[in-house]
Amino acid sequence: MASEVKLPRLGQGMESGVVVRWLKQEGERVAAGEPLYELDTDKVTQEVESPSSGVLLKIVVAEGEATVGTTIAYVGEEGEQVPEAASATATAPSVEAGAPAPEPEPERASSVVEKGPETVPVAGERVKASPLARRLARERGLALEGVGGSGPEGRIVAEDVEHASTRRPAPSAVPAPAPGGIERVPLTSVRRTIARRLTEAWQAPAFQLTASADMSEVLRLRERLRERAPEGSGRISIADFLTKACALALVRYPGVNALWLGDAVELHGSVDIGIATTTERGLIVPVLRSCERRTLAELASARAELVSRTLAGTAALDELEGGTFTITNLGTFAVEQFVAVLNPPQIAILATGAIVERPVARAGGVEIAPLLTLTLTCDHRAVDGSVAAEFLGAVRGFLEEPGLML
Amino acid sequence: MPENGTRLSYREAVRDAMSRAMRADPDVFIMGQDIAEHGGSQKVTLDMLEEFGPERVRNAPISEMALTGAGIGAAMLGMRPIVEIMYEDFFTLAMEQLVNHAAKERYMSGGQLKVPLTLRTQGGAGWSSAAQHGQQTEGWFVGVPGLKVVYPSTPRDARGLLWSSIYDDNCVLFFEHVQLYNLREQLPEELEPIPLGKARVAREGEDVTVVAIGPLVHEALAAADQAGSDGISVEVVDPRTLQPLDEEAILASVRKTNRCVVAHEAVRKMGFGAELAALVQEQAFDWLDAPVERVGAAFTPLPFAPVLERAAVPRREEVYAAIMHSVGRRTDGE
Repeated sequence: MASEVKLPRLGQGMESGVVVRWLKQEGERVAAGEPLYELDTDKVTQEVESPSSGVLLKIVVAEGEATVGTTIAYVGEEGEQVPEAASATATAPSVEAGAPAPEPEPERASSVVEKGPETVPVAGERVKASPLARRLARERGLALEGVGGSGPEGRIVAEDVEHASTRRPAPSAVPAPAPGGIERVPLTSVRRTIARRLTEAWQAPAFQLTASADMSEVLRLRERLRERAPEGSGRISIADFLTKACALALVRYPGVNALWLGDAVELHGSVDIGIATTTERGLIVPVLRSCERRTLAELASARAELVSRTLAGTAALDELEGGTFTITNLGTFAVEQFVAVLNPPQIAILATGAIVERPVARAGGVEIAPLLTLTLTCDHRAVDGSVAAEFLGAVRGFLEEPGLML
Repeated sequence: MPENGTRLSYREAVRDAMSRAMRADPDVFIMGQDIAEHGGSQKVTLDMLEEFGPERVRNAPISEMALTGAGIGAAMLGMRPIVEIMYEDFFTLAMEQLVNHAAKERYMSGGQLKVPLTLRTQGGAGWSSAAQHGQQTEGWFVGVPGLKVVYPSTPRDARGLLWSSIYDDNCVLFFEHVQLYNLREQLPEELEPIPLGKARVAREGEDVTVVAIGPLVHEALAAADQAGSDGISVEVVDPRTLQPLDEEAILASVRKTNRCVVAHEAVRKMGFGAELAALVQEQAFDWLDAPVERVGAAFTPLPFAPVLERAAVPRREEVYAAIMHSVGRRTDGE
């Protein structure tokens, strides 16, 4: 019997992926563990290895999006038959730009939306689902055909239904709008992940604290470091000072370097800071590990390298998961201050704006100083205002007197 | 004999329950092969002859049928006898008395007769006892209406359940496991009777329920520790009484965890675990997130060679593999 190649769940929270291209042709031999196709998830593009050895008998999903657990190909012995229905299954293409726009009846439009491109069932094949998954789907009015199975032999288990029901169904190939009309843009998988996670985050009782740091010393120090930097070494930026300051402050206040688990708060010994990064595909947060152990120069080169791989879409999935704290910066867009939404299960996120010269009253006079506004968002379930304030004060202190970071 | 709140072995806990009943009640006595001067093949009745005398601690001839029949007769006439069958393998020799008389006299007499007989026995693998001295036969009797079947896994359960067995008005088969006799547990001075038909949750957990009996309770607890380090939270339920079975406790646990493994040392195929699996799928179908996994011995007479015996009989590793399979994780063995 030919074995099925199913779309794997490569990381927590992964619901679907986009098959980019196949590295083997139908009829070609492939060994278990050999790269078989390229898969685009909501975070990275990566090569996926063949689960078994044999001949690639049939590619079911040549290109396009499929849910986790969908059969995308068959590998078996030469000449072996693959299930009939497999050949009838083609992936729905992504939105056809410029397609003519028939006027859909409202009911029909919504029923199309319910199905979504990833919900293509193999005609006539019974959906394998655990009894619990069936009951949950029934209770939530969810069609099992639209759910990818992650259990043995692609069985849909309860967790898959939980995932599917917290996710909005993906819109189908909705026709492009007539000129001047309304355009429906279907959500990409990145957008869906952002929407789901931030909606979750919005449930948290969050509070914000704001403080300004005088960045004169950091700016001076950065200039000196740049002048003395050896040829070819990475440029140290304000973001690196900020990362270093946060790392040291998080070591001092471990209650902030923590994850909210619902029934417990998980304190982390290693400071792994997520750097919110705007990419073409949307907001992605690569994680710099063990920031507390790295020098400023090490942080600078590691951050530059990680961010560039994230922008290129070549960062590995595990580099995009598991941070303990996040920094997000809109200063490059001349935003002066803003409030960030939590990045769960992390309990705190720091939002920074642009460094702006402002008049500051000092010793009875007025001086001009470059100020950076820091806004810390915290999950009040896990941390109280006073601790958060002390933490923010420590970050500010390190920025105002960078010598203290040595 | 135990002092105030002592650590008792499983063997001593069984002896303690019998001795207390015999002190309190002249209707209780014990019969068996070599149980008097010799103290029984496993020394469970050691020194009981000195305390209670040869009228109440009676050596029996090598005839399980005669021994069981005498016990049934004494029970029907108002005594509460305890009969020791040296090895559970030898129940075969008493089958007629057990199945056609002990189990049925009360029913066929319309309740005019009772058979408050307790048959204690022991057995189990792990010491190269081979095919005729190490079988687990409890599963043979759970399908006989009229018999009760008890299988304790700890000293506390052994003492409390044996007391309840002696004072039950029906014939109770009381299974002890040879590998558990030296297991020790701190027990209170006061004997706490444990009602028949009540399960015990040996460990609480969230992800998988393991329903295990006898020595497999301890193997399941060790497997649960191992699974815990993989992030899997395992609940272990010990039914303690196989017949009548505490169905509600098992179902409540499975409805909580949504996954179930059943485990016993007896042969897996056609075993007691199959009845547990059937119960779970009948009563908790809509709560199951994976097929019920069964752990039990291979379908073979118990081998003498130690490596073959180990291969045939399930231990921690097999329970662990079933737990991981149930939650959809691969283990190295696959």
